[in-house]
Amino acid sequence: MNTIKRCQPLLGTFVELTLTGAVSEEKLHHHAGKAFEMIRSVQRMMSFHDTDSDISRLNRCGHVAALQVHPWTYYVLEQAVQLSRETEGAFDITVAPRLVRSGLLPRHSQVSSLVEAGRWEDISLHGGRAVSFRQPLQIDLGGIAKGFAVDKAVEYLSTLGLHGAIVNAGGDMRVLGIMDSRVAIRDPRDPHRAAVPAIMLRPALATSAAYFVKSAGGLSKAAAIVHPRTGKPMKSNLSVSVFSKTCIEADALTKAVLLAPQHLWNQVLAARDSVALLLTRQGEQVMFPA
Amino acid sequence: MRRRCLIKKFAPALLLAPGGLHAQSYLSREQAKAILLPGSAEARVVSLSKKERKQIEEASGVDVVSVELDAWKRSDGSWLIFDTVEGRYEAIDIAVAVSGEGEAMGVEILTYREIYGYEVRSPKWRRQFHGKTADSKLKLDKDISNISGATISSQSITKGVKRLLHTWELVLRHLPNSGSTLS
Repeated sequence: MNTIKRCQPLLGTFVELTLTGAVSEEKLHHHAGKAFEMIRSVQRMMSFHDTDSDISRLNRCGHVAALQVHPWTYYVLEQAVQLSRETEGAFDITVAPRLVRSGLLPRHSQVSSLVEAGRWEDISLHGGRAVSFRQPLQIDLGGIAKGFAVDKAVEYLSTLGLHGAIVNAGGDMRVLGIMDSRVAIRDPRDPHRAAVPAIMLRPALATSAAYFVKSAGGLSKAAAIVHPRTGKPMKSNLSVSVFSKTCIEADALTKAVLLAPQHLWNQVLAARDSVALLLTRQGEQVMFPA
Repeated sequence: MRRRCLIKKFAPALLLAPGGLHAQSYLSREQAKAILLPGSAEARVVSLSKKERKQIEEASGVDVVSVELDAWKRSDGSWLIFDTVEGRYEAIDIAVAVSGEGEAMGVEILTYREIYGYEVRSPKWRRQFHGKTADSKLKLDKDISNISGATISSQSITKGVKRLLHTWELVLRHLPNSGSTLS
């Protein structure tokens, strides 16, 4: 039995692969290379930064005409819109303009910045994988595509008869087969230092928190999670970890829980057989559904 | 011997960090070469002059920290360059393959060490890790290697790769072959 670990900078973070199987290390490295390639494909399709991605094409002219997108992009958009509906708009992929304004996403010269009024209801999903916008929008799949990319890598790895595998994209992870079920979750009080041990309650786990964001000039107060109603960055040092069957669910649900009113949490989590673990600044650990 | 000194030196820091500082080794340089630049290639150590460093900094907008670069060069003009980049809380050894046309063909993380700024910025601290392979890795975090938390940005890598592509453009591509070739 051999085990390898690889790490590449993808999806704006560090993507780590752990593969265990009864084949040569060379073969495992070959499989890891292919799994990274799957993630790179998702990145090319769904990146806000890449001007050729499905997302950038939609952001440029989705309000002019319906555009056909890759089935994967269509699937992620469907999931995002579904979750927006269930959370009454708390989870919303159209908050990108506010992230651009705060400098967390790049400003593309092709797109107007006067699109801040748009909401998720303005996204129309048609048959034949066509997507259009009812008004100019800038969507960003940063809150969901990373989890999807992890799922795609795991789907590929699951076809290889490996003993086990872990794909961890900067904290959004999914486990395949019999692997170590222990995990550490960063403590929101001191994210760069302390970690809280936990057990993988489902195969996938993601964590989101309204931490301070690092910038070139030091710690900046802009956090990457923006409240859709107030348009303001979330400030509290609260972290939400969600355990789900798939990583796309875990990734998106962390934002849903951080942003949605509390009375919706149980319903949204139960619909996806998921469990949320909240770590508060005071060091409390709270599970939902209770 | 040296390793023992290191452990002694780090012991107080480990006690202060309840969750353990995250450190992970992925590939040795040899493994990275087999993946990113397979086949026979020539080992090169490239020293960057002060003038070259300045040119690279101007072209890439990124500070040049390493004066010497360990690299491999293949006869088709492609290179594999080893370097260390520093984020605010991490020091990362990377291997970057650059094609004969000056494009990044692949980036692999060799080791990832989470650490505090002042340690990273100390050249003496950094030197302790030079030439480390997977076999000589420091096991700071033995028990739990899967960490979930707010996403750590890989922007430092993006900058490092940009700097190395400019290094190729301004320096490496103009270097003549030196002769000895190893696989």
